[in-house]
Amino acid sequence: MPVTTFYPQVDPETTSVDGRVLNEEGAVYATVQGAAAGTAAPSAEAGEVYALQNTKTAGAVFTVGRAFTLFDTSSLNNGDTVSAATYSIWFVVINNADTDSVSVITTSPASNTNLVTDDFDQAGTTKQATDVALSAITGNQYTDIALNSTGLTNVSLTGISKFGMRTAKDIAATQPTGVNNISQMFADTAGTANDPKLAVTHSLALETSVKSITSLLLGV
Amino acid sequence: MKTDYKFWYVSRADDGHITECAIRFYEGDITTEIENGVSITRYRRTKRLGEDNLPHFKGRKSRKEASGTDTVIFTSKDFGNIKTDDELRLFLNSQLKKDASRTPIDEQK
Repeated sequence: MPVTTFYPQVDPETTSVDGRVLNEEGAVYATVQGAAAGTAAPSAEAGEVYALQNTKTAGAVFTVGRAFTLFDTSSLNNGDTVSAATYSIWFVVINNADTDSVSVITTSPASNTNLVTDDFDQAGTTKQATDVALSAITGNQYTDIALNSTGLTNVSLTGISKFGMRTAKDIAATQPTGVNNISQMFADTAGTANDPKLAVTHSLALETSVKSITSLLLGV
Repeated sequence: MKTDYKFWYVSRADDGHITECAIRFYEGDITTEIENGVSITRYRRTKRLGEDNLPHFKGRKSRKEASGTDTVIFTSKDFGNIKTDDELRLFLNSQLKKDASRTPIDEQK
């Protein structure tokens, strides 16, 4: 079946943003992790940045970071069947004090084309793929994450597919004891070799119809 | 002025050959700005380029994004039988070179 690979758009976006929303350096973990709004929401950064964070640093300050990756998948045909999808991120440096993992989730930022601090609580908790342990990730290459059946249903055939990432211990609201973060590349980086991507395996609506008609004619 | 491109999507057939890609072209320059409290010099895009700014793409097939913006389409009729992103990049770099008024960024020369 055909595979179409989608990429977020760079700044200034008109369809699909990517970036991170952070809530930085608070004294009480529950307040930082459970906040409605963050402290920063950069979406036009080039090069390596730390998006995913569930971290305690010196002085007992806590930072939680969440990644947003939206893909314009409207070129798929409404009626196509999505049979598989792989979400890929170019990670760089991993710090893993508490044996944390990456969880792929859905996101619902206020805008498809920009991130704001109020989007901090717009990263979901439902796992769209099996978690990937930070210890299993190799830096400076793509980590490919196969979406589960829930994730496949969140690939839009008509508009924007809104995914993102949190650390598993952020989702579980587990207070960190040290630095747990992972740096990555977003689409604003120069070139096309490190961008987030979503590879969707899909049967074409017309192809499905032809197969159905053929089956009917052959009685199988 | 500098120029670069980014993928919207790349489609492959069952056998892995690339059948179609949709590409966004941009104009920008190397500038210095404060990002997260740090002065950073890098390429920054300032304008999306379309048929009006890229005469050599006039009349090319395009596809509308979800926002309604036209995006340039290339097919195997343009780039031949290729499978890898690197092969596609070589082809697209050659398209960037056709823009006489702008210089491709170093990553796409």
